[in-house]
Amino acid sequence: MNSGTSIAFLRSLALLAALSLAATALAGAPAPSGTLTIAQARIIETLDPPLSLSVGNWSISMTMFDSLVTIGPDGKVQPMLATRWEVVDPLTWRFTLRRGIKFHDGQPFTSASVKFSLDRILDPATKARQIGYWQSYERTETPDDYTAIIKTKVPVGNLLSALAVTMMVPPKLSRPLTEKPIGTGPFKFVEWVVDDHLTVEANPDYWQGPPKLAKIVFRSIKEQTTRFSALLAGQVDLIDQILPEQLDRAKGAPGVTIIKQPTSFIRQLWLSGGRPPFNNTKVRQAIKHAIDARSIVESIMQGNAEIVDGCLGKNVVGYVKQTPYAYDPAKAKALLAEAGYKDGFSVDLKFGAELYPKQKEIAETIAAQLGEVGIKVKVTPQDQALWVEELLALKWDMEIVGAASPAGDGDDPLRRLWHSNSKRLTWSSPQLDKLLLEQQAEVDPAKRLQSFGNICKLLYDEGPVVYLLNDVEIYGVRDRVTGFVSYPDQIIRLYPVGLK
Amino acid sequence: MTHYIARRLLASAVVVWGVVTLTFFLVRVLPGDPAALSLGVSADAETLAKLRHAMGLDRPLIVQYVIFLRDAASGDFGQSVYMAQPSAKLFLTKLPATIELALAAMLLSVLVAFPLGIYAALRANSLRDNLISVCTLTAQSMPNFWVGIMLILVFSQTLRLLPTFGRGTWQQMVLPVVAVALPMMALTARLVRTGMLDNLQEDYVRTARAKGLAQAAVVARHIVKNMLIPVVTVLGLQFGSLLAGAVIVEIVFSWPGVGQLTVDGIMRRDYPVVAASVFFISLMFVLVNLAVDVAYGYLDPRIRYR
Repeated sequence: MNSGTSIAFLRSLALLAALSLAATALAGAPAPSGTLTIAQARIIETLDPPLSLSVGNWSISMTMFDSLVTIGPDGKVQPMLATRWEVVDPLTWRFTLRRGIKFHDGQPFTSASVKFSLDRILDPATKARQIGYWQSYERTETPDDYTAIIKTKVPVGNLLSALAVTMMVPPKLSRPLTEKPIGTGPFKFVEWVVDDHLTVEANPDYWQGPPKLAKIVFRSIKEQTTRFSALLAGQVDLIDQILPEQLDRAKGAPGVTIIKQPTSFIRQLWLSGGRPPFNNTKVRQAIKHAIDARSIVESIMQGNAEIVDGCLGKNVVGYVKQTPYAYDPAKAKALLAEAGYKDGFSVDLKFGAELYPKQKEIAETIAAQLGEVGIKVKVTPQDQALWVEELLALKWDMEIVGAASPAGDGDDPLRRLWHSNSKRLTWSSPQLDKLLLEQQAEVDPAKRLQSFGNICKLLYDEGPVVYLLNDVEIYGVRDRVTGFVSYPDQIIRLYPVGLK
Repeated sequence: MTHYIARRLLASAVVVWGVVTLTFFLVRVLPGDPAALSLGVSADAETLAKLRHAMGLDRPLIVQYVIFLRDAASGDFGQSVYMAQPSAKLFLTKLPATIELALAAMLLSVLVAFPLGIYAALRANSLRDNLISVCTLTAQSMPNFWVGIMLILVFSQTLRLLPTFGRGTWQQMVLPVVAVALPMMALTARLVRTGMLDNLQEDYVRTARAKGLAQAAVVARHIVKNMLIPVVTVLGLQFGSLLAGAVIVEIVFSWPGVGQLTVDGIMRRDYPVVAASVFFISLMFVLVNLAVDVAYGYLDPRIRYR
């Protein structure tokens, strides 16, 4: 080959390369392909997004619907159907909407959709279980198609977090969303066979580009062994809620990767601080010193949980690090003696037995550790319905309570549980109430974080609560799955996921 | 006969009404507020009150009952709190899966249990009979969930012969059907064996044999028909309870039947789902019982209906 021909050859190669590049660019991303089967432990409740409070259901909603903003894996708010937003005044938020977005049925997405989506949550007839996030919502104004102005009754610092889990639905519905969900999301609804499966298919016209998967089949498999076996046998591609004791078997299994994701879910021991003996700050501090959270995390959760060093998960808006109490039974005894309980006392510890993993073991460990400092604890497991009833009726001395930050924001697990108006506890503190309202009303993130810091410090110093552990979600993923990223809010986001 | 059936149907309606009414009050007496359960522990009082009102829970119990009866009479048991769908529709869409599992398990256990029981009876107290007794006793004592999980571990996870869960193909039916059928099969086989033994000593059997009939003909034509009454009674009851859903097996194999729906409904105090489930389950149970009673007449002509 002489130099002339070789240059010509190289030129034609370059041309070829350029052509193929152009062809790829024209075709956009590769066409969606493959079917992903995912088995969640939680049951699929409904197709209408605000009617559910389950993250299992939200994972499904987010394939078919979009929200105005979304939360990134780092916990930061990112634009979605809204491109920009500004706080006009503490009661007014102005959102600029993305143009050219269409719902699956062809309706354009406009400010009317925003107004409708929010108004219907507040309508009692909708029976939206998400209504709690929108208690302070006043109205939405629609000065033009691409501007939505959200007005609130009081300043709402966590408005963006609430919007991140509020799905946008079309104002005109030919059939109820519970039968035929219509959103702007990357996947379109195909079918739902109750308690069997729910299928969605790629929306080729999705505004961020078509998804990688052609189809997703959601299943809910409640039984842990079955879910895990289905993954190992290759019948499903992705599962959640693997138990710590199943991990050994997963390690030897070919083609399966285990992903551990610290969540925003925090289990805590509540004390009835308004009644003796817990109305004494020293008794509360004694209990904080008497419980060894590390032993719960290490031996019961087998390391599949984290020590809590704040009042919230680390990725939650409002997390401020605190110094956990040192495990010190001697000091606990001394504090009890100072408080006049030298010989200890007897109390009841109630908890929802089936609500979260290892509840009974955790309760028994607490009972044993408190037993060592002279406090006799009666362990009382309850079924969910009874547990909720007695918890709300304040019929308890000690309770194991789990609280997540479902919208990635600390307002929900702190203000809604701890403000004295909520009457969740027998204990209240005017100082805490003030701080809780202060953070809710603060729309400046830095100042808001400062309030959260003060709230958390107060709860650590004198609050009737002992932080036990931060749950870790364990996913199992088959190796053919690409692009799966886990999130602390336990919502599974499937748009970026593909198959090899 | 027609008169008898008509009378029984009327009585059945009263029974179903009674069961539904009893359950209506029972689930409401149980601790647990559906609205509070639905909103979770972080709901504030105002939201809770609004939802309770929307669900009609703030009305006096007797008013709730009257409204419930009025709606139920037109087949409307209300919307499920969690699934946001009419509860009767939810139940009925899941019923085929339950009937499928119940019929298949029933068929399998009868097909295995009869030959097994007859064989054991004809060779009573032999080594093989004892072996069958041990097997049936074991099968009856094994807890359902354990059998289910073992089947999954062996046939699905290790041998990879059959799917772990779901419904739709015959392969998916095998494991759940076996798990449901096993204890029923064992029970039926034991009943058949006992029935056979009771009848083998009867005069009519001796007569049949004296006529020169072969063993097979004696068993098939004479004994089986005579021992069927207790077996049909037990099978009828078993089938009736299977129609309420094989809850444990449904959960283990993620089988979309009515059992899971009913149990979830009770656990979450989803009153409309409980009402619809109890209505249809008691209706089916009563009808199966009626069918069994009618069958007696065919099995034993001495039984007359008045």
